[in-house]
Amino acid sequence: MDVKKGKTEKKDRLFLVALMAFCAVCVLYYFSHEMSQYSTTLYALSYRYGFISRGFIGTVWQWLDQILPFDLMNYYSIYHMNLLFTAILLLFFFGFYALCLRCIPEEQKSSAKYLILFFSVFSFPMFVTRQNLGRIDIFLIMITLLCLMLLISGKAEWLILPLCVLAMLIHQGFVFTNINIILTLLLYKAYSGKNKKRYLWIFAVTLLAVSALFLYFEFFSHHAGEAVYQEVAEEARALSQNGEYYEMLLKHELLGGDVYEDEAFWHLQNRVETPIFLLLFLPLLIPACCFIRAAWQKTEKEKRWLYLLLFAGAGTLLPEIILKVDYGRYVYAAVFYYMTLILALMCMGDRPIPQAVLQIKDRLKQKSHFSILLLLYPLLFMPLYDTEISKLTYQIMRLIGYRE
Amino acid sequence: MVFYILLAVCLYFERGMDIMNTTVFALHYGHGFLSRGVLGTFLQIWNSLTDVDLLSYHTVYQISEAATAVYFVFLLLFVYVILKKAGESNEFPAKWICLILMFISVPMFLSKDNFGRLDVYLMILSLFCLILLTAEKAEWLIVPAVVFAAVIHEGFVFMNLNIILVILFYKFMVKTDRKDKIKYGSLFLLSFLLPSLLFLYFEFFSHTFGAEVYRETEALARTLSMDGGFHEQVLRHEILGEDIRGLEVEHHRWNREDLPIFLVLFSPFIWYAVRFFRSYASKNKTAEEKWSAFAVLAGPLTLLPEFILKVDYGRYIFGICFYYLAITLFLLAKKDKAMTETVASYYQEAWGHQLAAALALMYLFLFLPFRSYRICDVITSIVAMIFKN
Repeated sequence: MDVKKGKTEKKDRLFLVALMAFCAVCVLYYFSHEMSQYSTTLYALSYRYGFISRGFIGTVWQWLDQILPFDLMNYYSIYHMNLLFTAILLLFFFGFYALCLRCIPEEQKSSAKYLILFFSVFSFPMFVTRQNLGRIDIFLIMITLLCLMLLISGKAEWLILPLCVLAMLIHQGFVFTNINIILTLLLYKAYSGKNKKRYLWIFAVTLLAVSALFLYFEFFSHHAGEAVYQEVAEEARALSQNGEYYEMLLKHELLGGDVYEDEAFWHLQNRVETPIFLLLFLPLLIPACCFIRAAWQKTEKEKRWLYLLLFAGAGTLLPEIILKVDYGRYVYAAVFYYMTLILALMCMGDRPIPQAVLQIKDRLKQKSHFSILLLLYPLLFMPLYDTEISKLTYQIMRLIGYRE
Repeated sequence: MVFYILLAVCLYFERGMDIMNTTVFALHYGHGFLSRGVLGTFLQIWNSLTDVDLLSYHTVYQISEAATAVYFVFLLLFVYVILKKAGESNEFPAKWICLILMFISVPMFLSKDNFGRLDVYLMILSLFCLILLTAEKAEWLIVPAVVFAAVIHEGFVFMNLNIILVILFYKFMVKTDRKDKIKYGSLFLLSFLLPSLLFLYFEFFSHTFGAEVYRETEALARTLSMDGGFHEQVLRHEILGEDIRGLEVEHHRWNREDLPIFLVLFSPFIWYAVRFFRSYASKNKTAEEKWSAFAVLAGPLTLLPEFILKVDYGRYIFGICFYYLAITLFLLAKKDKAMTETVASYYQEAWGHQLAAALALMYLFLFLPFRSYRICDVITSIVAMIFKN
């Protein structure tokens, strides 16, 4: 038994090492060597101007600038620190994968590895392009992965509340893009195992705290004034590569300006690009729908409301999809939600989900000798961008005559 | 595969032509029989037959689009012929190898480095010859095809002729009928001699034009380019016969920096290929089979002079990859016993490790597309970080 366990652990380590090598080359392939002015502008926001949204990172950065013996308030420093943060993010992914492989039962490991590989195709290139390098989403993802690891291991779960609050201070969009997986898994743990009260308590307090912070940041924090705006704009210029800053961001955060009309071009672009993306993504969407159906059929009737919540959890992205324009980030957020959901449930000993995964995997293998191409297919869409969904769909838009 | 071609065009097409690829259209036979003058001559003739001024970047770009489309058609035809001949027993392995061939080949001529490059015409002619050799129809057309290819670009004798000669040699060795031996022996000799003679002529006797022809060609090259530039090395070498090694110092440096890193990162595929072809070679027992296997394995050695003297390492790496994939497919289609057994056993091995196979294919994607002076983008990125260039 020990020999078999040792062999399995060796295979898992080999898999992770191979995946790391793939990650390294993948990052180098997509790495753009520059940060966008959107990402650098955020470092100019800080709590010097009041308790404003997205001010946490800038506050910490400016505090470090004061206490460290070298100048951090320049593009060079921000760029290099973000290389380090991105590397840490990738380590978080591998930490999550390692924990999953340790917790998932032996007979489900093969399926889990396919899912990890599929998930990695989306995750590795996501934050190394010019559009997303240094984006504060990386901190949100790190916090989310940390919370997931706490939930899977069942250790120090009380940390979820302060971590989610921290995430909200970093970016209030966390309430739509990433907290969904944490809240749904808290509910799952409440209604599937022991300590129901405890998990419901953590769920309720976390939901209240992030909602309150979101409401504050969205409606009460954008009144810094024109003088502050000019000061922050000057700092943002100093932080960027080319002396420019992201005007719309400061206009919204400091003056409370509505940027919906300023973003009209991207809204139109989203409407053109999304159908193209959905059409091309059908080969993956169809098995995904079959999986959800298979899992639903295997769920006990009394628990169906819970699984409905689990599958519908990504619906928190809807307000972002309707009101905002970063469709590339939302596609990634949806993939992140479902992949981490499936892996986490497999770790937690769930029954319907692993069975559905195995069923779909076997059915795909039986249907075609080339089903493995479904793992390669997402590579054609990489990297995912921000306002554009992906390089492929953007190129198609240009080809059909949609021009900037 | 058609779906992949469409997506690859959207993903990899950079919508521009390098000055190297536009400059060659300025070379034409108006001043004499010089190397790489075919396309320029075609353009001149076409221009003289119409009232519209065709001597522009726009025309050259559209010709290149058409050539690339024809290249895709020939790739698909080659795959079709291979799969038809491979039969049911080899169906799935052959399909997988065809897919890998397409993964590598389709993006090759979509980047700015290689879009419209003369290589695309050489590839069309090579694929044409491969189709004839696989289907065993009208094989006599191979001789004029390889001659035409050598006239388009004398580098054909190093880059692409190898696979055609190896296949002719293979057929000469394995066929037992005397008529077939004479046929393939003659085809081999003619396909070797005629392009070689053309190469010697173009390399040593065709660069005898003066400064006035150079200036005229330079002016035309500027007209044909996207931004008014021209590729000085090409014209200095082709028109004035100058040794351009001094102008390629930086390119040689790139090669020295790129190649070791590429070999390290590509080593899993190199290791797998070495294992595969060693297994194939060991299954050949008779003298004829062993000589054929030796030719199959040694074919890409014709690229050595290019590696030593020239600088387009991306093209050469592509040439090697294409060679080994295409020759494997040909041997499968011919139901070569050693190759069929080797492919079957390695396919079983890969099928038993599908996760590793999927990861390997994903990893392969990170090297695409192959470029020209630089091998590929990921290597360029690493070299830029290490050598700060």
